[in-house]
Amino acid sequence: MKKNLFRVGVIIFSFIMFSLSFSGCKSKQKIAQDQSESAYAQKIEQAKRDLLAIINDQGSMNLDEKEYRLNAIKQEYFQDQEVKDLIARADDALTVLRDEQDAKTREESEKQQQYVFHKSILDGFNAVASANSFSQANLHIAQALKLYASGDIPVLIIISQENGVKDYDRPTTIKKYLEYLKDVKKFDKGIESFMLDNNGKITEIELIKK
Amino acid sequence: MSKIKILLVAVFCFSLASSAFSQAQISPERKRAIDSLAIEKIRDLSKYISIIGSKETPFSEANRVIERTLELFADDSQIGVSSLHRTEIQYYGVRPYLEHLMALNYDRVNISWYNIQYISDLELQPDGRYVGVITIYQRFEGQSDDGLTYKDTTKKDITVYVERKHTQIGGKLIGFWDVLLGDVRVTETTK
Amino acid sequence: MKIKLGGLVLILCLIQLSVYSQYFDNFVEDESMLYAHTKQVNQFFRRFNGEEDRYGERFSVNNPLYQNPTYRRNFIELLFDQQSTNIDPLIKNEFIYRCTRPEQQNFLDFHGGNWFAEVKTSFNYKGEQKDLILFLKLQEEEVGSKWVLINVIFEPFFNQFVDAKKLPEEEQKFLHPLSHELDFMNLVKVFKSKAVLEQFAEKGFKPDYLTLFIYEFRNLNLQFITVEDVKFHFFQLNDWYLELSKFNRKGNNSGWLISNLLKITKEDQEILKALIFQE
Repeated sequence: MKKNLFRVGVIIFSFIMFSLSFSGCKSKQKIAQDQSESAYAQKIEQAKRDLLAIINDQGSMNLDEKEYRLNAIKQEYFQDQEVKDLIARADDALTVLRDEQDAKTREESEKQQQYVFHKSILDGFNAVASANSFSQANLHIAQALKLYASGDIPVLIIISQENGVKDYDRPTTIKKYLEYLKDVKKFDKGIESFMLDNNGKITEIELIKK
Repeated sequence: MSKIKILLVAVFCFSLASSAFSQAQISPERKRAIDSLAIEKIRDLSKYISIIGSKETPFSEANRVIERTLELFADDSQIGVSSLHRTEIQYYGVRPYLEHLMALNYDRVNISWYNIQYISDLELQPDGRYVGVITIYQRFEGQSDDGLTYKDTTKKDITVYVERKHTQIGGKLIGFWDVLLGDVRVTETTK
Repeated sequence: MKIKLGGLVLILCLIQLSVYSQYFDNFVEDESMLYAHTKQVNQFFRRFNGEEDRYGERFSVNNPLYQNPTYRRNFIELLFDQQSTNIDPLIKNEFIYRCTRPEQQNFLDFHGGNWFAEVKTSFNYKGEQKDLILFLKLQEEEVGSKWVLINVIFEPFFNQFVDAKKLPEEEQKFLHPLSHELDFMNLVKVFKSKAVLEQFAEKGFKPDYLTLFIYEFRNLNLQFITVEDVKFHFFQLNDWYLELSKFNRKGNNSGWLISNLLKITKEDQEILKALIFQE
């Protein structure tokens, strides 16, 4: 009987212990769950902050950095609607920025191209004007003509500008102009503008009297 | 019919009036630019003459420069030459004058120009064009291999016509000043 | 064209001759001399009016030297032919003084009228080379201006006309005042050969040589050869007549210069013009 009583006691104890331990395990889980939710919420908050930073940035981040951070956020697959909205806004902002940057790059490359052309045109004119023989000048003319769509493209020379109205000399062609430089042995004009065709050849050039 | 005539006369009068008006409106800056353009054409002519006269100029280049020189001149322009011994004017066409210059029988020819130049006022003529005269002085030196030398100084009074014209280039309307040279009076100058 | 080519050959020959006969040097080494020359009639106007500097650069209107009386006084003195014996020095001084009085300066005006050109030319007249003088004036047009012919002097034309007053009495004829009653049948006597028709013309009749010139030119009796000389007559300044001629000579006093100066009343100006036109 005593033995049975002991058993019963052990069982009860075990039961109590079990139930105690069970209730302890259950609260740990809850804590863990709470912790995870809060971290997620923090992540969402961080994502929102990051997204707002991307959207409102005034130049502290470059475009690559913004794209990297946006992609990182996208890979989290947040289900938060606000985050989703912000991602869409950031996407839009980056699209605008990317377009701007592309335009800038294009402009710079065009500028660079213009600069290269500008220099090549001037070099061509100066080489012809400073040639010390007719045959040398003729070689320079042939070389210079490669920049142009043809020898017949128009050359306009501005002689004066007043109230936005340009006064020109009689228009000539590039071939005649290069031959003119060969004869007068002097080039004293500046390049005002020129136009290129799809093959990168000059189709019209405007010079200005210095 | 008579209405059309009246209209035509009216348009003509208007165009005359407007052209006179527009001519009167040329600002001093614009006039200076036209003067300097005219001077540039005279300098071009001077260089062309030196090239054509030089014995070092290849035949083909001299011929090309003659063509280029002729483009500077208005049609029917003439060169009127007189010398110290023959004061009446001898008339030449521009082409024969230039070809004569190219064919001069010297072994060396040097043509240079004095710094001096004189520009007249630009005067309006009845057809609406401006006319002016630019005076320059030329040194000519011809040498033969046997050491004989001929030197002279000539005064050249060159007519310059200036006309406002328009042309279309690449879809744009371009207003330009057409400067053409006209008759040239060549006088030998006493030393 | 043949004449032109002939001229070219002649010039070439002349050049050749001068080359082979001597060392021919006619360079003007002194450029300042060329600056001093009055190179164009236009420059004569500007210099007379004090509108440009010694080097031919135009003064701006705001420049204190622009039309400055003192500057002009010195410059006008240089515009006279210094070798002329026609010009009375006293008259010249008075002229310069009167033109440059600060309170009442006199200027020459290109478009001011009352001046004309006398151009000595050479024409072929019925197979013979003859001198012919053309007079031209600058005429203002609706747009711009142009030189126009105003008169001609040509010796053969003069010889065509007789001063009727100088005819001997026995040769003087007229149409009597009742000729009309006979239907002017007596005209047959007027037009008999070699009649002096001038005596039948009205008082004050003057032949119009310009008309005659045009008529002869149209009938191919006159062919232009060349221009030989040019001068100008100025009646633009009150009480004064100026003659402007071109000189081509050594030194600074060359180019377009005043070759004659007369102090003259308005009435006498008409007489002088008639003298110039040899009327």
